[in-house]
Amino acid sequence: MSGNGKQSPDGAYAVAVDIGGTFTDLVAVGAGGEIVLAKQPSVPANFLAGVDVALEDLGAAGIVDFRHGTTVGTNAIIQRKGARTGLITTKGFRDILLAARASRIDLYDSVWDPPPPLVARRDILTVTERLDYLGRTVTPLDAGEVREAIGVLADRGVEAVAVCFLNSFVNPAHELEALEIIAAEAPGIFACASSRVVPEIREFERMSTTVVNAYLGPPMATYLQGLDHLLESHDYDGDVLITHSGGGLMTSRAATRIPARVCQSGPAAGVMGGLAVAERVGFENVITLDMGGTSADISVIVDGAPMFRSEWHAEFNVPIIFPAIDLVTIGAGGGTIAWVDASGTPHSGPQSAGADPGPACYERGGTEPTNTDANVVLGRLRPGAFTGRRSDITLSAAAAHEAVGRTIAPVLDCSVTDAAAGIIRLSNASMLNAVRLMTVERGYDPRDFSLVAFGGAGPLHAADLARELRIPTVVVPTYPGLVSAMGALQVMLRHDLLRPVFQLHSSVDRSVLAAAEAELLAEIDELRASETLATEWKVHWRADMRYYGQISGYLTLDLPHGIDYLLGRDSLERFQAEHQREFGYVLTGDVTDVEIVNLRAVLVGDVEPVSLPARPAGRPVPAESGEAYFFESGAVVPTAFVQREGLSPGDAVTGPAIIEEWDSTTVVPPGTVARVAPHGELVMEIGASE
Amino acid sequence: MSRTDTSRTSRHVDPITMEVLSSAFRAICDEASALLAKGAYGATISEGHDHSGSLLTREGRLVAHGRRDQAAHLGTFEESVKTTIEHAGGFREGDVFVFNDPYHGGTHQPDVKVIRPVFAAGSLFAFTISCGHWADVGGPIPGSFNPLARECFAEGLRIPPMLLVDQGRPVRSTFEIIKANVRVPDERMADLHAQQRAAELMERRLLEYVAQFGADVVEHTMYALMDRSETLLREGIRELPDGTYEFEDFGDCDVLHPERPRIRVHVNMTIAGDQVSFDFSESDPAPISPFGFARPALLSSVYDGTMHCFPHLVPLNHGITRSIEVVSVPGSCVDVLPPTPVLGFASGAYEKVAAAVMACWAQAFATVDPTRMHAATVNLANLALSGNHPESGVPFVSYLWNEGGQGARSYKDGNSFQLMIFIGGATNQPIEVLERLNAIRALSCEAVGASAGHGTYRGGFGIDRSFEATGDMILTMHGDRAEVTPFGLAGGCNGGGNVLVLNPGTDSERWLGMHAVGEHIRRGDVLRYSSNGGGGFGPPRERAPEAVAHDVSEGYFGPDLAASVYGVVLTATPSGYDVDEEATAELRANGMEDPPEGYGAGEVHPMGRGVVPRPS
Repeated sequence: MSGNGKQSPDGAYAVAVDIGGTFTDLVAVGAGGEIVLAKQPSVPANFLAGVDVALEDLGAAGIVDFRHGTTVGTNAIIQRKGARTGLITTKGFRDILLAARASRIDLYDSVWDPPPPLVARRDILTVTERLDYLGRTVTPLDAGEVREAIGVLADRGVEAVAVCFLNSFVNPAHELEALEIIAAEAPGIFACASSRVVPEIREFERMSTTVVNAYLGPPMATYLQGLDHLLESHDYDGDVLITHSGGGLMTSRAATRIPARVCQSGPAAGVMGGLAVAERVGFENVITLDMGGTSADISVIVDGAPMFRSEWHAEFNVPIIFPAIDLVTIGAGGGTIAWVDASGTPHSGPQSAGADPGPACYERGGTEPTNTDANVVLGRLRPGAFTGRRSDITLSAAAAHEAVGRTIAPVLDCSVTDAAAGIIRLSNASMLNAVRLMTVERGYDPRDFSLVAFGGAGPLHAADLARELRIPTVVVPTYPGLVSAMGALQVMLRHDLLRPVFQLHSSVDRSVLAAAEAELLAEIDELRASETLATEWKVHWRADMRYYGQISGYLTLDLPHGIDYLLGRDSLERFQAEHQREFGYVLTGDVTDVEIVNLRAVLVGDVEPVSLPARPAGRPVPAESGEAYFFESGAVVPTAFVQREGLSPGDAVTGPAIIEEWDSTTVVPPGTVARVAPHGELVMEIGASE
Repeated sequence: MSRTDTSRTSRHVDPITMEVLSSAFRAICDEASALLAKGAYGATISEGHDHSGSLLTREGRLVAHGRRDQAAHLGTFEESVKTTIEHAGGFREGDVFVFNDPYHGGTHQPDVKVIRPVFAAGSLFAFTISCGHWADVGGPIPGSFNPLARECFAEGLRIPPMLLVDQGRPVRSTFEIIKANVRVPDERMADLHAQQRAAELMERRLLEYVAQFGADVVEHTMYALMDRSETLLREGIRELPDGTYEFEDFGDCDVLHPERPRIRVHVNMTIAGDQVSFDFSESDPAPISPFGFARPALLSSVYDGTMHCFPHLVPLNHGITRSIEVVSVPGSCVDVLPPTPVLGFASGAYEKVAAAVMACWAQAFATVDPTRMHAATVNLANLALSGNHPESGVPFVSYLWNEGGQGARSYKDGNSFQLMIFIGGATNQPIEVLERLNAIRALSCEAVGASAGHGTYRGGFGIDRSFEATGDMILTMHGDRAEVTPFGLAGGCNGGGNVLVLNPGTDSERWLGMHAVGEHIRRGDVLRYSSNGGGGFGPPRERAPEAVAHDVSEGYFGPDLAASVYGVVLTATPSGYDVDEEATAELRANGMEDPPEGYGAGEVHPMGRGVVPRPS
C-alpha cells in the first residue's frame, strides 16, 4: 500500500528500497519532485518478494537510479544461515577465531555461553608459513599443504573459504599465493584473504572480518543476482547501489566482493538520513534515534559529521573492522515486552514481541504487554492510528488494557494507566542510559544537541527523552518511517581503504608513507574504473595515530595536505590537542613518541544527488479532541489529535497534542510547541510555551 | 552481620522509580568504567580492564558497580570507605582521596583507588570510587610483582587514605610522593587523572538524579535495593538444606619454602534457616611468600563465588554483603596481617577461595537446583617480560595472561578460552601487537586437548600460547595451579595444569614453574606457556559418546584419549568420527580404569567426588 502524496507517474524515478527486519520501505522520487512511498512487511524467507511488491507501487514508471539497503547479511549472521565456511590459517594458530578476545558480558555469570562461531573448528585448517612482525618471511608458505587443505574443505562441501595468516597485514604475499592455489584447485569456492579485505593489525578482528566476508559471500551473490533479475523485470538495467555500514554506497559488484560491509547498512543509512533532515532545519549537532518494532538505534553527530568507529560487532564475538557509522542498538522498540521478575521488580526488554505475534493489542497471539500496548493504554496511539500502516491490523484498546492490567498493574498496585506510564518510563530509561553513555564516552553533553527522532516509535518517545536529557529541540522528519530509504538517496559512493605504516612521528620515513600512498592510489584507480557511476571523485587522506606503546585504540586525524602533513609539527600538535579532548590528558614528547599506525584513504564519489522534495502542504483537517496521558500532567488530560497531512509549513501545534500520520505518531507534551518547517519537518521546542 | 540494618526502607518510592534509579546506578558505574578504560594509559587498565567504578552510600555501603568490572575489587570498597572515614575525620566539598592499603580496605598495592565524597545540598550524600590496576607502584621489580617478597615493603608504595584534592585544590605533596615512588610517573599520572575524572563523572551523574528525584528518593532507593537483594538472597538460602558444607583446595607451594606442604585453603559453609556463614578457621597460616590476602580481598572472593551461584542477584550491594558472615583467623593465609606480602593474591588465595565457596554452594544446591553446581575454572598465571626491543632498542615491560577453561557445569561443558573468574571486561592481547612491542614471536594459539577436566560434562580447554624469544629479556612468573589444578566435581577429573617450560624437548629443557623470578631468557629460547583447563563434572565414562565423537571430530583430542579416558571407541569417516557403539559398550563395561583420586591433572578431587546432584 502507499502513503499520501502518490502521484500518477509519468517520468522515471530514483528509487531507494530499505529492507529492515520488520518492514521493507520504498521511497521513489521523480524528476518533477513527485514522490512514491511504500511500506511492506519484510519476508525473511524471501526478502526480494517484499521488494517486488513494493516496486509494484511504481506502476508503469521507469527507474533511473536504484539504491538499496538490506538486512540480509545481518540476518544470515544472527540466524547462522550463511555459507558453510572454511578457514585456512597459520600452522600452530588454529584457535585464534575461537579464542576470540576471551571476553565476557557480565562479571558474575557462569551460566552465560558465547554464541557459536561462524566456522566449525573442524573446518579450520592450518598450513605451514610464518611472517614476522615486519612481514619478513620466517617460514615460506607450503603450497602443497594449501592444496591439501582446500581439497579437504571442498570434499566436505564447504562453499566459502577465508584465508588469514599472522602478520599478513604488512605482507600479503602468502595469502595471495594461497588465494591463487584455491582459485586453481577449487574455482567454484568463494575465497577471500584478510590482507585484501582489511589489512589491519590485530589477528582476531581481521580474521573475524574475513570470516564474515566469506560466510556472506555466496548468499550475498545469490541475493544480488536475484535483485538484478527482479530489476530487469522492472526494466532497470543500470547500476545497483548498495548502502554500507560506513554510511555510503557501493556498487553491487563491490558488495559481492566485500559483503561484510553490507551488514548494518540500513541503520547507517538511517543516521545519514537523520543528518540530512537535521541540516535542512539548521542543526549540526544531533543525536539520532531510530526506534522501530524491536530495537532502537542511537547515534551522535557533531558539527555535521557522523562519528565512525573502527570496529563494531555484528554479534558478540563477531567484530567487523570496516570503519562504520558509530551507533548503539538497544532492545527498546514498539514491541519490547515489559515483564516482572520473581522478586516483583518490573523490567522492560530486551525481549520483543516483534511483528509476530506482535503486541497484545494486535490480537495476533501476543499476550505480554509491550511499549505499543502501553502507548495505546495512554491514549497516545489510537486504534485508527495504525490502519494506514498495516491494513490487516486494528489495534485493540481492550487487549492492551488487559495485558497491562493483568501483568504490571497488580505488581505496582496502581491503575492500568499508571502502570502503562511506568512501562514507558522503564523503556525510556534504557534509551536515556544509552544516550548518556554514548555522549559521555566521547566527551559531549547531550544538552548541546538536538534529537532527530524517527522510525515508527521514535516520535512517540522523543519528547519525553528530550525532556529528561534536557535536549531543547526535537526534529521529526517528513516521513519518519522511511528515513533509512531517504538516507540512501542522500549519500555518496564511499570506500574506506587503509595500509599499515607503523612510523614513529619523531623519525618518519617518508618513503614508507609514499609507498603506502602509492598502493592506495593503485587500489583507488581500480575502484574508479569499476564504480563507474560517480561524476566526480575525491580522496580524503587520514592517519591513525597513538602514543607508542598504547595497544588498542587510536585517533584518526585528517591530513589536509596528504602524507607530507605527517612530517611536520602541526600534525603532532593536532594529535596532542585531539588526545586532550578525547582522553583528557597528553604525554610529553620526552616520555613517549607518537606512532602513526595506518594511512587511510577515503574515496568519495559524487553520484547524482536526489533532492528530497518538501512534504506537500496539507489541506487543513480539523483537530479531533480526545484525551491522552502526559508525564508533565501526570494524568490523562484533554488532548488535540492532529492529522499531520493537514499541516502546512509555518503551522504550529501546541501541546498537549498527538500528531498522527500513516507510519508514525508524534507526542507533543503540554508546554511544548511543534512547528512545521519549510520542507515539512516537525520541530518541537521542548517546554517552549511554559 | 546485622539483620536489623533494614530499617531504612523505601515505602515512599514506587517500583518504577526504583527500577529507573537502579538501572541508572549501574549505568553511572558503567560510564565511569568506560571513561577510565579509555582515558588510562596503562594496558592493565585499558586492555586488561582491571578496573572498577562503584557507588556507595554516605556510610560506605555498596550500592552498585559496573557490569564488566573486576570482582576482586568490589568486596573491598566498603572497607576502603570505612578506613577513609576514620582517617579523614570529616569531609568537605571538593575533597578527593587516594588509597591503596591492602590491609585496610584494598586488594594489592597496584590497585589504586580514587575516593570521592559526594555532597548534596551541602551535606555528605555518597561516595564514588574509581579503582584501577597501575602497571607499576614501585618496589624492586618493574611492574611491582615480586614473587620473592617476604614483606609488603618489597611490593611497592603503600598509600593510606591521603587527600589528593583538598576542596578542589590539588595537594601537591600527595602527587609528588606518588610520582617519586613509581616507574614512568607521567603514565601513572595519566591513569590517576583518568580515575579522578571517572569518580567526578559518577558524582555529576548521581547529582543529576538527586536534582530530578530528590535526595530522599535517591537515598531511599539505595537502601530499598539493598533490602531487596538481601530478601532475595535469604529466600534463596532458606530453600537450601540446613547444615555445614565443607571444601578444601590447595596452593601449589610456598615459593620461599618449597619443602613445606601445600598451602591449604579450607572452608566450612553453614546454612541455618536464611543465614549463611563461611568459616575459614582451618585454613593454613600465611606462607612466607606472597599467596594470601588481607581480609578485604577475602570478602571479595567469598562474594564472587556466591554471586556466580546467584547470578540473578547482580549487582553486588550491601544487602548481600551484610547477609554473609565470614569468619577468618588473623594471620592465616586468607587473612594476612601486615607486613605479610599480598601482591600475588589473585593467582594465589583468591581463586582457591572463590572456587571452594562455589563448591560449598554446589553441595547445598545439590538437592534443590543442580544447575548452580560449577567445577573450578582456570587460574591466573601472570607472566612479566622486560627487556629492550631487539630491533628498535625501545625498552618494554609486558604482562601476559592466558585464557583457559571454564569449569564444567552440572548440565553442560565449561566454555573454552575464558578468562579468570574474577575478570569482568578483560581481554586477551593480540599476538601481532605483542610481537611488535616485545621480543617474542608466538609459536602457538591452540587448545591443549588433554587440559580439559574430563567428565560427563568436561571443563573448557586451556590454551597453548608458547613463544620464542627474539631477543634477551628478563622473565618473572606469578601463578599457581601447576600441580593442584582446577578441581572437578561429582567424579569429574581435575583440569590440566598451568605450564611454563624453558626449551621443551631439548637438552636444556627446564621447568620454570609458577614462581620464576628474574629468569634470564636468551634470544632463540622457546617457552611453552599453556593454561589450565576447567574441572570436569561427573564421571567421564558417563559422557554421551556422541559428545566425545564431536570433540574428536573437531580436533580437540585424538581417538586414543577418547578410548582411554572416556571408553568411547570411534571410527573415522570422511567428515569426522562416528561412535562404534558395540565396542564402546564393551570397553565401558569391562576395559576401563577409573581415574585415581588426587589433586593433580586428570585425577579426581577426593572431596569433589562427593559433590553430586541429588534431585529430591
